[in-house]
Amino acid sequence: MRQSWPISLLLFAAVLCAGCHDRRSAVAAGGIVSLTPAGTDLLMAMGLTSRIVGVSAYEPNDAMRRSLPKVGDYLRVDWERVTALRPAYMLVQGKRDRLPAGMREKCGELGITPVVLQIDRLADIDAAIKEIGEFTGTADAADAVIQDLAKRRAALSAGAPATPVSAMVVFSDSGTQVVGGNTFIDDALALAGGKNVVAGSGYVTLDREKLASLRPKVVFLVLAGADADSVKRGQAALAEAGLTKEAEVVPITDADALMPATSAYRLAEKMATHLKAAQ
Amino acid sequence: MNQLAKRLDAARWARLIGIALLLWAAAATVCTLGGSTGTFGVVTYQTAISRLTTNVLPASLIGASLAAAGVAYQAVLRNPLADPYLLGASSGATLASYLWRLPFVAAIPVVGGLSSHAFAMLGALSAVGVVLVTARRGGRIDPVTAILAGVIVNAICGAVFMLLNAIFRDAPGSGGILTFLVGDVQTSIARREVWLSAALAIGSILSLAPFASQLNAVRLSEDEAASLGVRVHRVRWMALGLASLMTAAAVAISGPIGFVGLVCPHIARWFVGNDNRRLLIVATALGAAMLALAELLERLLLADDRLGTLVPVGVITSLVGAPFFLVILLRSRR
Repeated sequence: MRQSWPISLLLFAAVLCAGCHDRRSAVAAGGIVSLTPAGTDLLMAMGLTSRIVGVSAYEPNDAMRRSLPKVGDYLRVDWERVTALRPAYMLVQGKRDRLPAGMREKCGELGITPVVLQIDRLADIDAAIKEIGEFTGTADAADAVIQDLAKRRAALSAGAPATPVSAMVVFSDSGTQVVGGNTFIDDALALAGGKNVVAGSGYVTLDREKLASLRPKVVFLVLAGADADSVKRGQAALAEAGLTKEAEVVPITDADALMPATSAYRLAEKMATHLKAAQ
Repeated sequence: MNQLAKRLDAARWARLIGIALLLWAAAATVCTLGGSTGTFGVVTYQTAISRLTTNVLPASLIGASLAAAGVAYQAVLRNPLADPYLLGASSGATLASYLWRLPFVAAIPVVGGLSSHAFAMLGALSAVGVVLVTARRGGRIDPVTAILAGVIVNAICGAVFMLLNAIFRDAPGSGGILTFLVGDVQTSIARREVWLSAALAIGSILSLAPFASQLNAVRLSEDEAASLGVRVHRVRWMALGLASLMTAAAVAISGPIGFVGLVCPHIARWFVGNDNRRLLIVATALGAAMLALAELLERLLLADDRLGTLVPVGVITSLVGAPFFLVILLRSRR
């Protein structure tokens, strides 16, 4: 009897492990609520569209916004809807150590695993995809997307002008809000063969005099989802700042143009086309 | 005869408190019937409890705190336009909440480990603390100086907030600073933090209640109040301190929600006049009911997919409160 207890313990452990494995499998097949448009984009790129059961109130993708329930945002989650949707995962974008305590608590109560995506730079997109893959049991799909992005990076690098073209990314129709260094958009610009003329870091505001002094060859006027009037206002503001004398202004209005997701590569590819021409 | 009078008085107060509680309970019940899933009607016990704890009670708590604080501020500062944010509570909390997100703050030992709720509450209390210390002269608090100091602290907090936002600007397309500037009943607050706010707010309201009769005297001149045996400065300190605690408790779980603290005391005056004892009870219940209903409206608007986005409760209270306040203003001028 004394000798049988280790065997019993092993058997118990084996049963427990089997139970855990089953639970993981069940969760892996579960739905995903995305509180971040970037997360939704990454899920779609990974072929997990059918597993998305709810999206953010600010989802820019028309089809997703129309067809799926909107479950709020980072601070105001509609837990009633989330409970009804019974997701296994919740994608949130932000700093990992800054997830609101109540969100973690409520997710724990509902058996939802929060997946926090921290995407500041272009390289973070790969890390986010990998993290989604690990959490949702779709590592193969994640690897495939990461490889695809690596190919696109290689193609962009190969086709980039030998000497980087001076460029600037403006993201407001007032013409004064521009993209600085250490951002995924700056990374995308560099990948496309551009050299950002803005010296500051992050997303900065400049005045017209400063803008005019930068003298880029190409100005990307990225107004996500903007209408023609807004683009006209942006172009007029850049003309007033004297930027259109020497620079080519390229408007980009894709709804997801400023999203830190796979769409950043589409942005880089569009930029590359114009930078090559301006070389 | 004296005992009979006391009993009658007690019965009158009990009736007023009962009516106020009934008013809030009716609003709270209505609020548990509707949800963002688009349904409105009888719900299961579980759904009702879930809505009550997640949405209705926090909203009621915030509304009650702001309205009660509004009564105290208006009486002590002798200004009908005083609202709970006049002394810098909301700008302090907003600045502190924003600071909480910044990487260099997160890296500070101990401080970086505090929750956003703790930051917001400390921010609110610090801002009001600076105002009260500035307005203090020889142990007394001067209402006019307090208002001016409040304006200055609000301006400084606002300027620092904008400066930090210019340096650490959010990525384009994200909610950014807007989420800090318009208040909402946040549902991502931990339960213990809501409990902490609730304890602080309810404790402050209950502590303020015994001073309500003295608040009536505070509205008179200092000499008149002193002749009635009221220690004006002590009452001012107590009332402002307690009102600030309520405001901090509310703003820490919601951000700045406008007009509730301003409008509810004025609506309550229609029903019960200027007696602060009655005013405190009715305004508190009105505030709780009003914000619970505004929060219900927010959920119902979300249910309507044509709008398809969240309308923060702070927007709803301002949209409803501002015209309402204008009507009150115009009527009072006639």
